[in-house]
Amino acid sequence: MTNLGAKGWLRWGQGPSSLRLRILAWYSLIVMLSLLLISALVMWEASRSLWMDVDNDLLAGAKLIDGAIRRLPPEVLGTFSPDAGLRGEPIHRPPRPGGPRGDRGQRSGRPRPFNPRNEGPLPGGGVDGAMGTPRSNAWFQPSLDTQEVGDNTSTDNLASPRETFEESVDWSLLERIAPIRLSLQDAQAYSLVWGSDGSLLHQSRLPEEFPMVEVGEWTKTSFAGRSDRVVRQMRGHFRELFFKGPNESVICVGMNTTRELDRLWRYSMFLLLSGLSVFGIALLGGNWCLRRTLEPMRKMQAASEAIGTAQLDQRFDVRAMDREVADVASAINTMLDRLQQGFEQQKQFTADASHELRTPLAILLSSTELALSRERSAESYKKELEKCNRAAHRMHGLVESLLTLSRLEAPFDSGSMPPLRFDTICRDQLEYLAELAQHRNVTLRSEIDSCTVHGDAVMLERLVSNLLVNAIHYNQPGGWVQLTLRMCEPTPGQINPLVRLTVQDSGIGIPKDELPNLFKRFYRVDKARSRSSEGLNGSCGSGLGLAICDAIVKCHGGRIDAESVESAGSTFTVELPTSTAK
Amino acid sequence: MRVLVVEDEPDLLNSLTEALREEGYAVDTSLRGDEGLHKAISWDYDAIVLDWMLPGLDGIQFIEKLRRKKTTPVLLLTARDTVSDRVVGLDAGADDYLIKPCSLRELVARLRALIRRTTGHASSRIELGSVILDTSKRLVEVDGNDVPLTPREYALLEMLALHRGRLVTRTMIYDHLFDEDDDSLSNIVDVHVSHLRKKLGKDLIETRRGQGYIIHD
Repeated sequence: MTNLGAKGWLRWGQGPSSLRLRILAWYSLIVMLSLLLISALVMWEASRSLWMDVDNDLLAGAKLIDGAIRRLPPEVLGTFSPDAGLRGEPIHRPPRPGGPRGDRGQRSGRPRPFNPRNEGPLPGGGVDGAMGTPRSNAWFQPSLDTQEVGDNTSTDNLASPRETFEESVDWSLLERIAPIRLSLQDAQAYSLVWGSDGSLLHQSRLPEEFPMVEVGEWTKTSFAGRSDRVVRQMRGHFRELFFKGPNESVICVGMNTTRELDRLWRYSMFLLLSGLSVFGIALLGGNWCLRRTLEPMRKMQAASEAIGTAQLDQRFDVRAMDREVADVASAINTMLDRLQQGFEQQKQFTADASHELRTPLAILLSSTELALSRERSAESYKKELEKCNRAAHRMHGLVESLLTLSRLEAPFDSGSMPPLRFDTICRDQLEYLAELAQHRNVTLRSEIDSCTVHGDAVMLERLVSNLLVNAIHYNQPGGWVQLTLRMCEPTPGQINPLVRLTVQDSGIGIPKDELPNLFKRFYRVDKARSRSSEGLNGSCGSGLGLAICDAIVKCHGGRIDAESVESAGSTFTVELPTSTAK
Repeated sequence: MRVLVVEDEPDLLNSLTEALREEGYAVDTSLRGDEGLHKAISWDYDAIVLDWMLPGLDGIQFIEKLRRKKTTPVLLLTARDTVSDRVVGLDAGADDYLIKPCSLRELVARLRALIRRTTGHASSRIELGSVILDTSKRLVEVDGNDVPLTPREYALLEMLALHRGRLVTRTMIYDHLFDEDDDSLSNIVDVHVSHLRKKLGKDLIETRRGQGYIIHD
């Protein structure tokens, strides 16, 4: 028995794999992958647009500074020298809260910048707006370390380029024209400007945890090998934008993006949670759908179990089913049809066989009972015994026929049997039956070619004998029986030539509508005639003779056919494959 | 009592006929359904034993055609043993159903019961004053003493007893006591009646001159 469609993989334990679980596993895998894909796409798009917004703000800020310094004389922006470009000047940390804030405050003359560290502890703990101070674009307010700068100036008695630059820029104009940009204003934003020689010209307040880096390194890496005006980069959680300003100067605007990163993080968490819940819903829903889908299968199983051998006439109602289930159901129906047919045939056969056995048994019992009921004359005993004998013979013949039939049902390979002279078998049978033919006043004629077939001698003898006995029995007085045995050309598709045996009689013939049933077991065309007649081997008269012929011919890989014209005679044709050996 | 047996097995028919004749029945036979039906319609049989599978006309068609004209009790004797077969047979109009092979004794007993019922009697014992008939044992007692009767005498007495209170004509007696093979003399009935009177008493059977005989209740 073949194991239909049992997949070894994706299977739990030793028991049969569950279709539902397997489909569910695949389904959840697909749902999970699609959810992941969607989440990834959404996240990518969200972060892209977020960074685009941030970059646009940074770019706008950079352009503002660019506009403000564009009008400055070139010397303020520093003269370009290759050495100076690489001169490292550290970016200064913003001063400590406890530092020289008063001085810076005086200097800037503006309200405190955004940095709470720079502002110190606020009395109300409120924000700028709440304190009533106007929002300022503090990200560009210069943050000169006056002490350091002052030290420089005191020693050199010269204004440093940075100081000069800061003084030259009209920061107030910048404040006027700069629109209040939320992200730059609220975020810890900062700006830096380098001159063409790489010296730091401007530096706004830097956030507290700003990572220190060498300026030369910074600018060098920023535009290294790049021809575009704008370079963006992430440094820690700081987003920075470098912009080529006038006269080879470099403007950098950056901001702390902790808030954006936090937003992204919350967004991804939200996506993860909603994805998980969608996955859960999809899993539950899929399971429910699967159960529903498999429900008709379960019903069909229950219905199939209910169909026993006693109710083989039950069928599934295909009209009430969905197409896919209906296909399965109608296939089962077809199978049931065949099964029922087989059962019916078997039942019919058993009924027929028991009927055929009962009749002689009834004779046997009634005769013996009658004979034993009282003292009788010897003649009367003899008569009853003769009846019993006839009945016993009939039963014997019937049992033999039934055994032959059941033996013929077993697989039989005629090709492996020894080759037989079929012509000899035919001649022998003609000889054996000559007496019967003479008794019935029937002439036997024959035309026999010599030919060989593979097969069982006893079976083939029986075949010829049954056909001849039938032809003699169902003949008219003075009639004839013609047996012809010929070699024939092979039919298309076959290699070996055929042997064709024809038994033709001038008998009573067979009605046309009876012909299809002729080779069925226990089938009799005319019960009256066959009952009273006894064949040589008992099979004729029981309705099994031609069924046995049919079985024998099929065993030998041949075919049998009957043609008949009523009251003119019948012709039985047997075709058997020959053996090539002569 | 005259019965018809329709059976296509010559040997079985022979046994049945012998057995029934030995039981005192007049038996007509037929090997074919159509021929049997013809006989069944032409004569008033007391009962018919019928096979199902018959050449010419099968048992069911036989009963259906017979029932259009006669109510003769029919016992279906067949090898077809399934419940549905029995239902079909009985519904077609058969009065009893017996499956082959069966005991001859059972067949005869059922036939007796069939005839008894159709003549309107429930018991197998018939009491006619001092004369008692045991139809199951085919015995006659007068005042407690067995009286030996020939099968013909018994059959005649049984017929008159079953139709007691009614006139039984000579034709009826001829029809029911003798089968088609019998060519008895025309005065055989008078002979049997006089023998019965000698054995059972003069007053039991009354002669209606020119009409027939009667046993009074």
